[in-house]
Amino acid sequence: MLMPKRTKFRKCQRGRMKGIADRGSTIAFGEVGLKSLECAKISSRQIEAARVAINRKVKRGGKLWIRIFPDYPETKKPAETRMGKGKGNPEEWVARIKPGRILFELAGVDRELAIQALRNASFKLGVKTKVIFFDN
Amino acid sequence: MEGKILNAEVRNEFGKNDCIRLRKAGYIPVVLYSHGQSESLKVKKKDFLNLFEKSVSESVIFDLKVSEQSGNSGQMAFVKEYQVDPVSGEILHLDLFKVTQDEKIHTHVHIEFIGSPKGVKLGGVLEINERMIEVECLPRDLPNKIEVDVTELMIGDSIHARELKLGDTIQLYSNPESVIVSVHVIKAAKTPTAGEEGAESVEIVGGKESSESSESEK
Repeated sequence: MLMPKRTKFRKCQRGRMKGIADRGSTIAFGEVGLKSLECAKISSRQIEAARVAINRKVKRGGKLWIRIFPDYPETKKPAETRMGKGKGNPEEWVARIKPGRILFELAGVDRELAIQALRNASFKLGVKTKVIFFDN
Repeated sequence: MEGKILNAEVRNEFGKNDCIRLRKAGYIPVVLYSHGQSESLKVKKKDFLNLFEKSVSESVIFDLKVSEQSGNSGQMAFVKEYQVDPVSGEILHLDLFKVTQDEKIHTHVHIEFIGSPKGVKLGGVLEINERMIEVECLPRDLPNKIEVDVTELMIGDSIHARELKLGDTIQLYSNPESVIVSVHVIKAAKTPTAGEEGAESVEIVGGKESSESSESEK
């Protein structure tokens, strides 16, 4: 699963997710892309599940680009723990995305197959998405 | 050019709120400029989308007819830059560049790839590295698109910018060594390690917490 190799701090403050993606909102490498329409935290497990779903559909050939990276640690308190006593432990890594962000790009496969593959991937993400194309 | 005409009107509304109102009324705010002089215009969104059916291109020169303007009708222009809403994909603003017949223009032209490479039938994948190239030429020589035939490409072959047939009138401005398109075999993707890696397994460099954690271990 995707995660940073090294970080400066173990835990992060939560912050807010607002606004729209001002970067990473256009197709840069492939021909077909999956665009997010919502703010969300997408975990490395979800990204991995989506990647597997795309690869299963495409089978062979084609090239996939993952345009997001989970670089934000999500903490969680253990079950049946009283409040207080400090912040919980890091549980997983998530990517914080904004509406308009391209999540995946595909190239080298039929358009119909690419749409189906990206649609399958979108089911794993829990975010409203749409498929977009690079048109000449 | 082929008789492409875009009708525009002089714009007296400026600023964010006025532009939002303009867009709601079915217009796109436009700025037309050349040689340090600029004017604010607006075009009907419907007209603009009729002109550029599929996608906005920098290599299409059209006649810009500005109403409410005396004596300066029939100027040529092309889209220098445009802003798009990242979510909806709607066009928010246009930069038009005024063109004169005898002055060279510097712009981007789309590349269209024709055919299916032989290497793809043998198991390769066509990878497109550049979809546009930067050129300089006179407005009358500007092509709408540059066609590249990729049918002869085998696995490992590539086409560079210098190999494009542009003609004598068009000067290439992109890096001549840049790869436009190539056919290659995709390596098997690395399968991620099967073990469950928690968020704790990441190395922490510097920062206050690392020193704290080392103290607590003691």
